[in-house]
Amino acid sequence: MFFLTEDLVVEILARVSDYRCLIQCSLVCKRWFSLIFHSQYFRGRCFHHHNENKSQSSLPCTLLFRDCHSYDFDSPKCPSYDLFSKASKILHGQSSTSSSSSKYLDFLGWQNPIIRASDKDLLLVQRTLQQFYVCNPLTKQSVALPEAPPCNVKHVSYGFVCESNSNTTSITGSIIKYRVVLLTLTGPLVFRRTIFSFSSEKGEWKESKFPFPFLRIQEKRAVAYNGVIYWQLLFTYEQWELIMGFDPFEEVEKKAWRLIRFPEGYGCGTEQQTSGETCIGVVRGRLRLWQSFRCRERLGEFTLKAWERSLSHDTWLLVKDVAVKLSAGLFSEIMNVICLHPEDGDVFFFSHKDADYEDEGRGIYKYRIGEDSCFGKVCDFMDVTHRPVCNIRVFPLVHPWLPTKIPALPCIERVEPSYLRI
Amino acid sequence: MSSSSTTTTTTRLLMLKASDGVTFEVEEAVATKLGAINNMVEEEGSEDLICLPNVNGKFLGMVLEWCKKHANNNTNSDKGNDEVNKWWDKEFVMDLDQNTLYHLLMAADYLSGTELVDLLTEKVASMIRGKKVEEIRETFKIKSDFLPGQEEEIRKKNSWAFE
Repeated sequence: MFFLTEDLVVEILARVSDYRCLIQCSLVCKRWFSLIFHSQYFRGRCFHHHNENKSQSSLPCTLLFRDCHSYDFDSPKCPSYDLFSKASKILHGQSSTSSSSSKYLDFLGWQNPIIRASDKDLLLVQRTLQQFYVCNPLTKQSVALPEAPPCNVKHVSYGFVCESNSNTTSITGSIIKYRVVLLTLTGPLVFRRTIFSFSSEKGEWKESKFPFPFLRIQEKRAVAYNGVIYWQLLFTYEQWELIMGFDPFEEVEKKAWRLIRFPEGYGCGTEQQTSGETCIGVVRGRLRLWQSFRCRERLGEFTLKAWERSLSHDTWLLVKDVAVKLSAGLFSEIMNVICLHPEDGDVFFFSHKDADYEDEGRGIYKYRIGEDSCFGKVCDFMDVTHRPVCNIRVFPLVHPWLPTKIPALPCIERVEPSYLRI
Repeated sequence: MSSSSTTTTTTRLLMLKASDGVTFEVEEAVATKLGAINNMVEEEGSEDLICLPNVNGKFLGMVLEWCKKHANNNTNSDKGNDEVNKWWDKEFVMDLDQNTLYHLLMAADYLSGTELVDLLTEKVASMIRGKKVEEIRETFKIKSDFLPGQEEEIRKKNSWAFE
């Protein structure tokens, strides 16, 4: 083959669904190369096909499980596990996904890269107290941020959010703007907080005031969704009632913050049930809130409820309300929902661990609604200590068809005429 | 010919003549699945014999086979038919060798059979997916025409995709 007309070659290549393979195609011959990288028409057809398929198929995703008890810059690599979806394995290629120990972030070149947050296919990684990087682990691109203001590492909540700028999307990768947010305690007052946010266009850290000094924030529950960072708030002991949203792209401070009430019916199980863990996450581009209810008498089961935030009306919709039967050897009282599947609303992950138990059931499990008593073990529990609290954090990456390109930072030290800047 | 009407529906028959002289008699509803034929038929005073000098009889036959299946199944449109069509399409492209695929694709494109082009380009794309450069070149018998050094440069730029 292939003396096909240009239009037909375009149609064929535009249907090659993963970007890794498209790069391979670009090397086949000059004609394919120039079509893939230089043809406006080809780009248009690609986006057409990918938007068409979006509703049917899910994007490749990768879940990075990290035990954050060991989050220490000087310690050896923290216990970790990387889970690649089938499509993600194809996208990453054999060599990156086949090894059992996690080598995913080795390209950064230092011992213990500490993941702080994720959005789309990008990660916010910390190297030292004041040194942060934004990286795309698929394309192995990383950009070092200017030194961050010093914060007490024990009292910081990290946020990272990016926004794609559709005007600058090219076939070599969509270009974005992003924000890094450090929500930190300052001074001796426990509830006094300051916000430091970093803007990719300005290349600077900026300090601003936190408008809700009375709120307590659960730091491990921050998610980025639709250009906004959301935190679960801790009002009273173990009672989750509000979600706080911060839009760091919003210039007007008053408009940047919002508080969202939990859905009606939240916390209401049956009489014998006690409310368990709450978890927020993003599933197929929508904000979801999960809650599990366990029953003291029946440790072999629990109830799961999930609400989804509608985009158009600011309301919650109950989307799941299911009774889950556990497999033999698993107990609801030592089970915590730790993550939602970013592309499949029926799948969730939980940890199974207790300080007193040394049984074989310890581990991270995947469960799909509807498949009762069918819990797939993802990996062993990474935390070898006997602490009762589960401190596993999961950073989901959802890989868009075009890998996100991290823009170079503007140079701010040197004073140059603007036309000389990159 | 078209004046011969039956009590149920009037079915106009068209004669399609391929480049090698082979002719096919098909119902209008079948042939108009192809955009090019549809255009010709819609022109007023069109004849019932249509010559297609760019398509060989073998491939025209296959294209028409596809049209027939889809025209029949489209008449009563329920969801089950969609599944049948999909299954049939899958069978249709499953064992096509490259030469046939190539000529069929050219024919479908020439005759503006959009749905068939979709099906065939998807088939070719599926032959590319998951393959490396060398494998793609071998599959489609394409020779690299990059200058020495050019290929290495592109590889370097996108090294992650070649690991």
